[in-house]
Amino acid sequence: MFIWAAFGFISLSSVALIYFFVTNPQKVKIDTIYLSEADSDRGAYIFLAVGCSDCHVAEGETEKTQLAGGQKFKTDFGVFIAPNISNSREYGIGGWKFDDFYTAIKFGQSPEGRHYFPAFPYVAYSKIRDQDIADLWAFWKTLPSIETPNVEHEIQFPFNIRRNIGIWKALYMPKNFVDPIDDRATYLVEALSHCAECHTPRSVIGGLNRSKWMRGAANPSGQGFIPSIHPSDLGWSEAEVIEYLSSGFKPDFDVASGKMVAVIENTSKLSLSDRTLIADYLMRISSD
Amino acid sequence: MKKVFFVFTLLVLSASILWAHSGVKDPNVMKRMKLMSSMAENTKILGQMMKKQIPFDDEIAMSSMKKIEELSEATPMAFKINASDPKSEAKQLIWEEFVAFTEMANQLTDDLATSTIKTYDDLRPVLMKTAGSCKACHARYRE
Repeated sequence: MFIWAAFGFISLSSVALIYFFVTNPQKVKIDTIYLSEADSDRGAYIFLAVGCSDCHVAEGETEKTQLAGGQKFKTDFGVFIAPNISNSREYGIGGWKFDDFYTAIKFGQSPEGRHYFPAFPYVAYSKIRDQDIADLWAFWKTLPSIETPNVEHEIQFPFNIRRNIGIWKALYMPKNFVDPIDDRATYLVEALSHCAECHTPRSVIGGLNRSKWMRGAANPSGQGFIPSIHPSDLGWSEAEVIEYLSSGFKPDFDVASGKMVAVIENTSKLSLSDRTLIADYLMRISSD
Repeated sequence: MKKVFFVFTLLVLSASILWAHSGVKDPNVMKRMKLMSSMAENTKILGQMMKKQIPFDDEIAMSSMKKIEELSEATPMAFKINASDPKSEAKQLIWEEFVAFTEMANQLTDDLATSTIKTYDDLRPVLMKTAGSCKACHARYRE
């Protein structure tokens, strides 16, 4: 009897230890990062490519710097409500330092060391280059402060326990949370513009199904389907993809809709060479 | 010759619309989807002219623009009935804020009513106006 009790205790303790270890937020050291002087103009460009405003402006807001939050994202896990990420010290991130910003983008962690829910696409953002994050931060500090209180997410148990996100990160975040990419086309699509976050289907616990990369996914808001942008499904030429990213016109002259309208507003302001690189990336996704 | 090409293009586009809407069961949804496709079809004519994929013809361009204007005017009526279909991309928000939806459609109608296409250079502003209105409406009211 005693042996079984001891065995049970040791087993439970081991599981608890493993859980604690896996879900423990990262200890992040930023002071070793080498950065050249941050440039807010370059940051403004990164802001467009990253598309923070697509989710963080209030519903119906057209001014992209008004990052008051409030948009709702219905998912199988509950409703995520985009937080205020303006420079409000009370409701937004106005009290943050660069280290806090870096840790949020790169590791999906709050300044207090809590995991963010992966509705915030930090799997993609973890690949953003340090200098780009610094430039983005320089631009961020020029943005207005919006005094709109945050609304709590409406997430079901057990997904509402942030500590559990550590397990999710162990499964789906790139190794060491950092994955620098040398090829700019890949960097634009996979890190900055994070296209796969919507256009790739997900597992039951929300991880990207990489074997169906960009093959389209169920619309988390319920109705409709986010289309495949895999070249063999899309059937568009590179020029047609560039046109879509520039004007929102599809080859049949239907226009972008839903969240893609905000995305196109951003991509239309990227350089033609970057739009071409995005199209080039999409054209060369393999069918394997 | 230009007119023959225009008619041929319209026929091909109409066939593709019929194919695209196959499987839609609700007649009201079908009606409004056809209206939207017809708008895209006429926008495409202007777009192809602007890209010089088809020759510029002021009569055809004006006719397409007027057709878009008519379709835009007919949009609120086409969406008046809150019909649903698995293939529909319309958001419920349309009927929750039907006045705002109607105003958005009317804005495009009014913009095009005061526009004209006489030369090649007139194409771009009309097309940009149309695209802007379509995107604004689709951003809020289409999945």
